[in-house]
Amino acid sequence: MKTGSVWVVVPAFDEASVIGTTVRSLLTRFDNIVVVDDKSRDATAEVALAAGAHVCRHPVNLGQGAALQTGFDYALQQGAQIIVTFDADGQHRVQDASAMVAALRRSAVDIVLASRFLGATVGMPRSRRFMLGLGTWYTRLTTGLALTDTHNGLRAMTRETVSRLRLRQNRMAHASEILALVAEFGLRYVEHPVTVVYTSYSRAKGQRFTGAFRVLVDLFVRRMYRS
Amino acid sequence: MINLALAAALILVLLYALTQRRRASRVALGMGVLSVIGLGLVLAPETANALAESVGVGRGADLILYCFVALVLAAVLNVHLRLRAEHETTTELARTIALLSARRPEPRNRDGDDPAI
Repeated sequence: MKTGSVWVVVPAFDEASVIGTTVRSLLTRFDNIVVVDDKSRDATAEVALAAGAHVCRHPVNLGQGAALQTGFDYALQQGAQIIVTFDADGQHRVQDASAMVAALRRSAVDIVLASRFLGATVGMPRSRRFMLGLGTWYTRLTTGLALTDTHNGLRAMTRETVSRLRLRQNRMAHASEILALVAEFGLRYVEHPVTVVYTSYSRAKGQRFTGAFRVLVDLFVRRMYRS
Repeated sequence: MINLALAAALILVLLYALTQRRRASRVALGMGVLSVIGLGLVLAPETANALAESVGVGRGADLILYCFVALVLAAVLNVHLRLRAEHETTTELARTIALLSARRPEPRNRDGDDPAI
């Protein structure tokens, strides 16, 4: 598969211990990786660069949503035709990402969303399943999209789709924001089964209950400003 | 005694508002009007009671408290909106810097564009 115009965007914050492995495994299937270092306190940027990724570094910590948008801007500047978002912590599998790119090319959709509930999970804590269930329910309620997994960091999008997204949720509410934009623009989407592997590392870095509450507040504030 | 101190403080606020009227005219106007009203109430406290009774609030002190709370809430909202705007500016700045200072990796050993390795 030719991957010259595919760019993988990896937002990263304090991921020096895993980012090298993640970048190297991505490079086995993709040519262009951009790691957006959200002002990490460790050597994330250097490790990612040495592993072979392009690196954009925020001079202040802004949050994962902001890092994704910076990565989108960079990839678009570099002429990306397809943009993949991929988590830094090693919970996604590279073969899933490349299968999603193939699915995006095959079908006439604008965005391919990964679903661990159509696919599989390894070592997912119960609390996580519960939280994701709430996320799915919230998405259905607010956007009408009947998705099985609404908070998965793995996505593949066409250049046109990414050009239309302008993430304004700097922190963690961007997953819901992307889906809200998918619904608003009437984008064609398809879910793709993937496997998500929960390592002790990803579990420790993952979102907590308070994080979900903060997401709700962020989304509520955004709604107020839009109306 | 305390009304002297309060009056002095309010006069200072009024003077400050006057010096700031070019830089932030609306804020200065608001501060000026409030300090004049404050001065009036400090020098003639019974007017607050009369005013409170005329609008159906028990005591003058209560009326002042309610007005104060309303003003503080408005000020908090104003600061919040400003912070938000500042934050968007910061995001844009940080993003621009990140894009301008992006670093490319060393070219890898590959045979040109041929991905079949």
